[in-house]
Amino acid sequence: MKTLLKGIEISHIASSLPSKVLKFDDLKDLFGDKEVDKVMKTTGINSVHIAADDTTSSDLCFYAAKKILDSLDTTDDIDGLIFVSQTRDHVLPQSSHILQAKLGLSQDTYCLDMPLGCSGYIYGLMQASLLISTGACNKVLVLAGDTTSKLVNEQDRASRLVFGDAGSATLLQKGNDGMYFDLRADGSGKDSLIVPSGGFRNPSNSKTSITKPAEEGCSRSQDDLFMDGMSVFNFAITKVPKLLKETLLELNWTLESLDAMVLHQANKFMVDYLRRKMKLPLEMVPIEVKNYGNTGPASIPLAITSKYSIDKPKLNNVLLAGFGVGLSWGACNCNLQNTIIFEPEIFNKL
Amino acid sequence: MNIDDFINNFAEQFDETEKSEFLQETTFRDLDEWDSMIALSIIGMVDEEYDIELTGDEIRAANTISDLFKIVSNKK
Repeated sequence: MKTLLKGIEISHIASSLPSKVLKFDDLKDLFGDKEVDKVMKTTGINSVHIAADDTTSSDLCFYAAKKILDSLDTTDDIDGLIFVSQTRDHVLPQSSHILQAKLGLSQDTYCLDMPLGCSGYIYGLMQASLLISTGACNKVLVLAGDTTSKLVNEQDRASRLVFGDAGSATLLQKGNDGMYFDLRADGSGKDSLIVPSGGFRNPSNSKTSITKPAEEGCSRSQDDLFMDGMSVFNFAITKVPKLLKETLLELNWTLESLDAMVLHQANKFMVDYLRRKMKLPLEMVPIEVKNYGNTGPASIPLAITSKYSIDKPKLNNVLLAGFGVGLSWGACNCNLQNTIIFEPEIFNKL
Repeated sequence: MNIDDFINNFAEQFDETEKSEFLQETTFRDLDEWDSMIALSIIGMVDEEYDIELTGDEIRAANTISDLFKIVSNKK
């Protein structure tokens, strides 16, 4: 799906991280010194933030959203809330409804949960832009976050040394920018990133929760997240560069006219690989994974807030791209020149 | 495609293993340094050097460097 939506601007971006930090050095007893060092060197991830048992993705997103709302004169004109997450508070109701009430937003607010992962931020921005450009909404909050650590088996080295938790908030409103979106899907790759049990196809039971040895160095149950790293890497390196090149072409942008390209922060190896493939210099493609890991749908706004909140370069022509579970992938442009970008905040208990 | 170049490109993904250990008949999975991270580098190398998509299943099905070379050259 490709579309150009007009009359939008991104006014604010904020992010939040749970206070607890998991240092990968502390996992060496469990997974071995050599293995952990090697993974850290390749992925560029040294530690991740982990949500407490009683902290959910919606809490992290609420905290980031409050940062934005507290800076506004009024929140009465916010009439859309999109919550992008695969770790919702409940099976039902939607977490976006819970967040609408908790944030004190009007009952005229359109609320929607989007259970998406690493491509989710782009999908969320598209949904918000669509609501604004059609005139249905004035201002829309996109809250994207996950507590993926809660889906990962403690003995699964492959996932535990990659995923971290974070929340984010992005406010979109009527403006003068156009945003071009290209969103793609290939559900035949559903098994590459999956929690096999726990839905209605394979409900959880006493058997699905048993941890069993999987690939070397990894054990997990059917209730845990499984990631086939090789398949996902293959998917990303074949699909994403093509998507980025076609998006640039549609936008009539050259590599020289681009100010920054912010990709889903899967890990350093992946982001750097895509950067080299696009022939872009290091300084144009942020890699913000060292202390955060892969934070799923929050990774793009977290990278933006981490990289550009203090030292903001020219950011008129920014390209964003997400890719992952589904499989799904998507890209869009945005103008962050006048966007208020807050520093990532450490979440304090509500 | 040349097998010697392929072996060189393959060997470059490793940091510690001696170059002399990389031969056509080397069972790459038995190399001490082999792991899933190196496997990703191999997929990347095949993409960059040969513009070929090498899947995880294909790597899993191969035993020797020569097996991988055949898979890649058959896709060329």
